[in-house]
Amino acid sequence: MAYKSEIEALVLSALADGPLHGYRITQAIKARSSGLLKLGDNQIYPTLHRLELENLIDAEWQPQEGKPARKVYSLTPEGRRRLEQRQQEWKQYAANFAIALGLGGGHA
Amino acid sequence: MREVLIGQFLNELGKELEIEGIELERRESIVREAKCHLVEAFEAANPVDEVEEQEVIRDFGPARPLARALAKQYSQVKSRRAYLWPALFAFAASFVRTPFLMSGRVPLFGREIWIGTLYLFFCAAILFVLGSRARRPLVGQFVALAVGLLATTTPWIMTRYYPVPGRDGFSSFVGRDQIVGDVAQTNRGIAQERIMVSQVEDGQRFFSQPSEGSAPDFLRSVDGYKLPEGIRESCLGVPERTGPGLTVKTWKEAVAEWNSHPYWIAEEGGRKTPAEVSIIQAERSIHDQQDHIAILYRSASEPWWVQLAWTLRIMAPKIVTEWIVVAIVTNAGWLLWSLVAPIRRLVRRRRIMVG
Repeated sequence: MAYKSEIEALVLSALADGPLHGYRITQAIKARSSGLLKLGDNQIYPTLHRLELENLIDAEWQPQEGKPARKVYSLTPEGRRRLEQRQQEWKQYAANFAIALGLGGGHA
Repeated sequence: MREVLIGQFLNELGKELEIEGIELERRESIVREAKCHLVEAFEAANPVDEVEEQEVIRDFGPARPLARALAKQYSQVKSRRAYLWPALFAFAASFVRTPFLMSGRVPLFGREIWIGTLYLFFCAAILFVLGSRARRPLVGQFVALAVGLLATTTPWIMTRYYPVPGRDGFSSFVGRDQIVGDVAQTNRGIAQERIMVSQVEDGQRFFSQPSEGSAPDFLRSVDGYKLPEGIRESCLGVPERTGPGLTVKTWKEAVAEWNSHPYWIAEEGGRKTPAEVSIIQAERSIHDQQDHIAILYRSASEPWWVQLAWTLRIMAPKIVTEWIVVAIVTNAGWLLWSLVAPIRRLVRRRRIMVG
């Protein structure tokens, strides 16, 4: 189970390396998290469609021979900025949590 | 078998999307995308029997939550877009009390209609329509309109009126160009009360005499004698006619009435005659009117921020009432949508499933 904002960050991060379609995005997220995140395959679609409506990602239908056409998503410059912002937030969160758990890096 | 399973799932997904009210073009796009995903998932998993094929469909997740999540996302994005226009209209509506809209009238359906009323109706109608599209509480619009109304109304009132707080029965606001007239009118009221007190005191003396003498005109009515309340009515109400029940016909009746003690006023020390009650009332009225004049002069000489505080204090009940109305108007569309949406979803489900 993942939260909405986490799914958004994961989707944006999966697209950071290049355009992907829905199935590949779920596979990329699973691979990046080493199977740690239990994300239902269809859970990414509401987020993908919202990000598309918010112009954070672009979508394009690509026909395939002998197979259904696939909708390929890519990051827009705005989406890339959002990803950087989310990455910063997570870094900060992780650092603060590490301090809270007594894992070092605390204030003097 | 996999084609059958994929087909069944996509068919179910299409119906659930339709039940959620998602338009045809978008439904088709979602179903195509789901088909692509499932085909690739089947290729990757390469299931050997029906159980494994079912597993691939299960991994993708159920159709109904997906349809609901997609519908929710669309409505949220739509509502964010629909949020701007109501905010602009809320801002526009806050100008309802500008001098032009406050004073102008236009003929409509054979009647003269205040422009402000038309303007408010127009803004309320627009907010209703836009609110129903926003599909969530229009908190920002309410705040914009409520603050806008306050921000435009208060200076309008402050430039035209002096606030006069504190006394029931007096105007809470006196026009800045009417202060002289208001003071003169209040002073006339005080003078009338004093005349009445003087006449009632004369009446007390006259009706405490042992025998009937020649009563002064102000104690006489057409066919007898005035009681204290009759004198009060003559002085403060209708001078030429004293109402029934405020006069008596004979000297004996007049003496009995004037010297009776029918009223109990604890704070004034016990039983009182009608004359004493009239004098007490007059003294209180004089005190209130003098107070009104004092507050009016004080209000006129106070700095603007004190006048603002007084104005807001006087207007507070009206402001709260107005804000309640504004909250209802700005959210009426959304409230109606909230009531109707589940019913529409039920009707669609019934129609699609039966169909």
